[in-house]
Amino acid sequence: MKRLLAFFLALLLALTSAVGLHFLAESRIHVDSNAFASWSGDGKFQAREAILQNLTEDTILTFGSSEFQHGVKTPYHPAKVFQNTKFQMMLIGAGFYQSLSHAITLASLGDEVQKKEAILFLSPQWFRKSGVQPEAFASRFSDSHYIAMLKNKHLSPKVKDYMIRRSQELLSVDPSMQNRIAQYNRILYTGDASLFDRVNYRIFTRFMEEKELQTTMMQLIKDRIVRKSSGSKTSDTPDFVSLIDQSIKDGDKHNQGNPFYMDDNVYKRLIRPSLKKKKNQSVNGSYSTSPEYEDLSCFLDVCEDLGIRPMLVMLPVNGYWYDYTGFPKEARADYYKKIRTIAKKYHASLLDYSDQEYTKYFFEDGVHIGKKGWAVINEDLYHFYQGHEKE
Amino acid sequence: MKTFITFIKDMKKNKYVRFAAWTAIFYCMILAIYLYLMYANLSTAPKFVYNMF
Repeated sequence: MKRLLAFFLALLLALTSAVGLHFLAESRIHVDSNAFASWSGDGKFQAREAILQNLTEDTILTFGSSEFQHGVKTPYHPAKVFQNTKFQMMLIGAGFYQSLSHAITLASLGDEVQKKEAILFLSPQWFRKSGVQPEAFASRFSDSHYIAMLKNKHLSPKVKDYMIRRSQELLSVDPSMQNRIAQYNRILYTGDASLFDRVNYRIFTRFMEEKELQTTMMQLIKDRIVRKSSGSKTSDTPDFVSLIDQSIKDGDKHNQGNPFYMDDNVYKRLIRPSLKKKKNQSVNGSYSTSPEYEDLSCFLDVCEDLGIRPMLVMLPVNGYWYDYTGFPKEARADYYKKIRTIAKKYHASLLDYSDQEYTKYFFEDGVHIGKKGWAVINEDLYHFYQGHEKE
Repeated sequence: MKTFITFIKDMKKNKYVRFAAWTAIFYCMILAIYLYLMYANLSTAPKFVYNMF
């Protein structure tokens, strides 16, 4: 009997601790909004509530993939360039995030942002023949964004149906998650959920929200994201001319002769060991046919439904590297043409960097943006934010 | 040393100390389960290795 009493007392104390941790996490996710916006920690992208809490009237949702996690320690990354500006790019994405994940996230957040604009960094590598890999999609899937997408009344049925169908297809590699989203669909979309569905949904979503909150807090602490900045945010334009000049000088310094104009340390560590194997390995490469084009169209459909002005950042390939691997120039040109066609169809703004394939130091490796790349892109995106787009 | 051992034996016999000890054990167990649920990676998604090149 006394042990039973001890158990219930312990349970009460544990519940009190959990409530305390909840309030601690809630206060801890309010951080310096610029630091949060440019943070690319894994805990961020799926944490819907934390993203919403750190939006300002000058935040633009910025979707992309692994390029956001490269160059973070250099002065050219948006995290440094826009550290103290009013303009914020809310970076959403890491490796394995592609158009469909971003369409769902935009559908989740799009009604809550004050600035009705969205930027999407397009990597050519997304458009391989198979499109997004199911395992990759599953590893990045977010229940809370999916649920918010289902709840969004401003999305057309056609667009929702597309996202539901594609998610079901791709999550076949994760039956547990696939069953869960089927349950969400029954509760929030088709309306034929059972009582068990509804009870299970309530319990699970409550647990999931709390877990996201706690995980985000731990990630913020682990990555030392500052709580509040000491100074106010500036409307002054960063000195992009000096930044671009400096990026070229730094590029010269960190490249001592590798033929692809990558950073030397990356070249020596990741490229040189398998250099001979990579020669002409992509002679049959193509980005012309891919389900990724439909996923991209879905993202732009979401923009249309929510009244969001999209900006597509069409990244080039590293021309030196792609020539070495034998990836046909015609195939590259065909990809760029397809993206331009889609942008035109949807009246999306387009930053076309296809002419930068052979710009030294645009890349730090075979695929990721490097010093000059970031400097140039940041300047163009700042002009987009100000409403003066590149001609 | 003998005083210390006697003290421990007396504490073990004390019903309030035993109650507090059991409460502490149960509290640690429940909190450990809670912290595991909150911070462990419970994703069922299959592992994926991306060859970026």
